[in-house]
Amino acid sequence: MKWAGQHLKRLSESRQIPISALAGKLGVSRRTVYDWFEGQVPKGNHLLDLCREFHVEPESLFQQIVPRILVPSHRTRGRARVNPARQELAVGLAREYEDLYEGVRQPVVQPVVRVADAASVAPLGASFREMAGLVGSANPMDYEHAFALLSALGICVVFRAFPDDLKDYAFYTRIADHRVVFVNVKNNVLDLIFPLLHEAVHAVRDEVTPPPEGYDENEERFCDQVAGAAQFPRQYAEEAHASMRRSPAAGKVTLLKSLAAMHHHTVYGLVKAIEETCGKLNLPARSVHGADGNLRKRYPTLADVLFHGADTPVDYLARLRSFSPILFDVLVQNADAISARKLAELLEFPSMLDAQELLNELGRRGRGEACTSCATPVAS
Amino acid sequence: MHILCDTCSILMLLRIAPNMFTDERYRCATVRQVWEEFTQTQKFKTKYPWRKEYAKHIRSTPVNKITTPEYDLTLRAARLTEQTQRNSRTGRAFGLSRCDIEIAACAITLGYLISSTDANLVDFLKQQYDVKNVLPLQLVNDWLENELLEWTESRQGVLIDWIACGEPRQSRREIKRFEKLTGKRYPAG
Repeated sequence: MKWAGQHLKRLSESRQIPISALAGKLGVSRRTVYDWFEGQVPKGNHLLDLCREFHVEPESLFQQIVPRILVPSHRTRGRARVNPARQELAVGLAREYEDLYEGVRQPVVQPVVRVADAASVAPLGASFREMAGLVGSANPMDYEHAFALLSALGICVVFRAFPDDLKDYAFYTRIADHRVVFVNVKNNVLDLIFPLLHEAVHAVRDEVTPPPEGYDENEERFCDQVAGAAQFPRQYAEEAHASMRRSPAAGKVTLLKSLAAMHHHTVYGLVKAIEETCGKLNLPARSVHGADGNLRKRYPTLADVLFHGADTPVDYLARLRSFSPILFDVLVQNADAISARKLAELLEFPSMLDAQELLNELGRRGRGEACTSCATPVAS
Repeated sequence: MHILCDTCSILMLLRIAPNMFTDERYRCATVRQVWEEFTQTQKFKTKYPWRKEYAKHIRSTPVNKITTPEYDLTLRAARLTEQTQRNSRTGRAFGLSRCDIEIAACAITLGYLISSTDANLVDFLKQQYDVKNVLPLQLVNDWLENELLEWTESRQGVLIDWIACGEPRQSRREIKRFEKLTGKRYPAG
């Protein structure tokens, strides 16, 4: 919202209240009233007095401003296609963070991919793997690699428990020109790898306006293909396929499950990657989903990864920084301009006290002081 | 004038004067949101193990005394003020949470002072509504001066705990006043 001085001016004219009378009633100078007309926002107690004096709602003295937040319509999740209600929930989440990014410097690295054709999929996937630290490796990406990639791409990752109606694992947005990916901490880390990679592609595509139809199928397919190529290199899919051919029909899913457990991904993801590379597998969907269900029990949710056993702000900050160094930097820069409760809300922190300690710790980092459990100063 | 105590302030004061909410002479009040934070915050269990024993002494102002049309107007106006004004101390947004703004709106509506150690909430109320903040040690000194409590070794122990728990520093003026009133040294940090 933005203060609309002209609304107040029209109101006082229509009620035929002279400026001097208004100033007298509110106990301010005439100059102050002129300043309000010209765009100066009244102090909180004067705003209240104005509402009482004119019997108006406070919102009527403000105007909506064009949001600096863009949340493009993104991928479907099963049958849960993106709709305006889900978009609004995502925008609402992003809006809570708007102040945080104001005046904060952007990461230097802001790569952009302009061409989105079939020929770009493999090179982009390979380049993502390199950026995630998988140079020369044929192993698939795990969730730690996915977070490392987002950081390398200059994307700020925000951790939140999404409202259930959002039905999403992660979504990319722009807030005041910053690239931000929101991640749902309620999800199992195995399920986050592919959505994180998908949103990373959206980020480097540098979408600045939502698709006119609200959902661009070609763009979504491109993001899926690059995410798939980045997570599962062709060699890994081919070797898995070759092993499957040697194993009996009943043991194929078991074999894939052991590979998935060894390399920290879902069976479903590997099946998709093999089918993309080597053709249809015709495995029973129930067995694949059952195998993934068992696998998930061995892996934590993202909330567990961030909070479990992090008993001090120093522990928690170390984890936060390893998964989202850009968010860490943004928080350090905001340490003196945010309340403890607000910090707790933004980080889904389980207690206000932790947030106060965390805020103190962030302040220390911002001033380059030693952290509470370290002997040496820690620069942010 | 009554004083609306925030969670951090209550955590510092409740063991010094358990009757701060029940004895009208203390003129202290708090609200449901603060009581919930005090009783439900998991981390308080370890940092303030006495919390459960003392929770029964907290009385929050009845909801129907707060949720009036005037409160509703104040809350909505405070939200807009928080969104559109800058903290003149930091030059940045105030960065208040929903709960902070509700507490601020309660203090404004009821015409109370505030006792909080949250710098942004204190700045917001002072800069935008001329609501004064009373630091915990200032409250203790006022109570001593008005002979509402006597200074004992166990109360001195609570002050030592303030330092051990890393509670915010109190003003030099109030520390001097405390030492004059009690004849005791304020614990060193």
